[in-house]
Amino acid sequence: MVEKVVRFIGKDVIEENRRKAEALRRLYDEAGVTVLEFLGGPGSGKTTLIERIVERMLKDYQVDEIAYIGGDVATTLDTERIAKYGIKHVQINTGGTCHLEVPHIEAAIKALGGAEALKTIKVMIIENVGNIICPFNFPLGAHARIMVADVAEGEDKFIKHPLSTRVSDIIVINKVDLADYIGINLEKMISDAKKLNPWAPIFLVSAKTGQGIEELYSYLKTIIERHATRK
Amino acid sequence: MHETSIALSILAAVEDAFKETPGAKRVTKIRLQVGMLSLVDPEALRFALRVVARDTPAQDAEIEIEMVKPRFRCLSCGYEWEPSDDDIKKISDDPQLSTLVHINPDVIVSYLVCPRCGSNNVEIVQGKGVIIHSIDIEVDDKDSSS
Repeated sequence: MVEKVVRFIGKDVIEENRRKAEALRRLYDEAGVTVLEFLGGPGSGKTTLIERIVERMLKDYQVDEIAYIGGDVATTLDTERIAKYGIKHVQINTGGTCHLEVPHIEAAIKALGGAEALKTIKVMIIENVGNIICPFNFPLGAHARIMVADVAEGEDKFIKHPLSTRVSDIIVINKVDLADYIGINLEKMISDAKKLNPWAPIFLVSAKTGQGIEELYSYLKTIIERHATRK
Repeated sequence: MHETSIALSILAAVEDAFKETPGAKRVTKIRLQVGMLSLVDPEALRFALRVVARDTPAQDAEIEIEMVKPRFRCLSCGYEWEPSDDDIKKISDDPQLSTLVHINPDVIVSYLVCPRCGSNNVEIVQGKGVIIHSIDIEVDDKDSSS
C-alpha cells in the first residue's frame, strides 16, 4: 500500500549559505591562515595584480606558505600564470556558474591537502570568477574582500555597482596609467567609491607598471600579520 | 537573482529528507516560504527548481510557494508592525535599495523608524530568507513497516 508522509524541514536555505561561509572562516582561523579574496569584472586585471602581489609576498614569506585558488567558468589559464611562482595552487572550473560558492572552496581546500595542510599556509588568495555582481553576493569567509575595478571599465563603475562597492573591504583602481589617455576622471571615481563605502581604503595601482603595488601590499601585509598575532 | 543556487540548496535538503524516510518512493509536494525581503522571484525559483529536480525523486513534486510579508519590531517600545504594500513597492522599485536588501535583508532596518515612538532601533521579526517548510513523500507501506 502506498501512503503519504509529511516531513517538516523548517530550514532557511539563504541563512544556511551564510552559516557555511562563517564555518569556513572558523576553519581559516583555526588553521591560522589569512584569506584574501579578489573580486572584479572580467579583464579588470585581477590575475596580473595577484602576480605582482605574489612576487612581493615571496620576499617576506616562504613559497610553501602561500596558496592560490582560482575560479573560472572554463580553462586553467589563470592558475597556470600563478603556478609559475611555485606556490600551492588549485583551479576550480565552475562550468557555467558565475561565482564561487562555499562548496567550491571546500573542494579546493581538500585538493590542497585538507585542514591539516591549511595549517602550514599563511596566506590563501582566492581569485573569484570575473564578474562584478554575483561573486559579491556569495561570501566565502575571507578576511578581506578586495574589489578590483580598472579605469577602462568607465568612471561610473562604482555608482553602477553600489552593492559590490559597499561590501568590499579594500578597493583597488587598476590600470591608472591609462587614465589620462582615455580621459578618465580619477578624482570622480575615488569620490564615488568613498561616498558608497567610506570604510574601505582605496588604492590606485597599475599592475602593469607596478605603480602603487608596494602600498597595497603593505596594507595586505598588516592584515596578514595582525591575523597571525591574534592567533 | 541567484534562484538557481537557492533551488540547488532546496533540492539538497529535500533529497536528504527523502533518503532519511524509510520506504520513500517520491516527493509529491514541496512547501516553501519565501520572505518578501529576500526579493527572490517566486516564478524564477519555481522554474529553477523544476530544472534542477529533473531525474530526482522530486521531479514531479508540486511546488507550493507562500510569500511571507515582512514584520518589524521596535526594540525601544516593543511595537510590532507590517509595512504597507506601498512601502514594500518603494523598496522593490528602488534599484539600489532593492539590491542591498536582496543581499542582506538586515540592511532594511537602517532605513526604518518605529511608527509609534520614532526610534530607529528596529529588528526584523519575519520576511527574510527562503524556508523549506515541509515536503510530502509517498511511501511504500510495506517498506516503512519492515
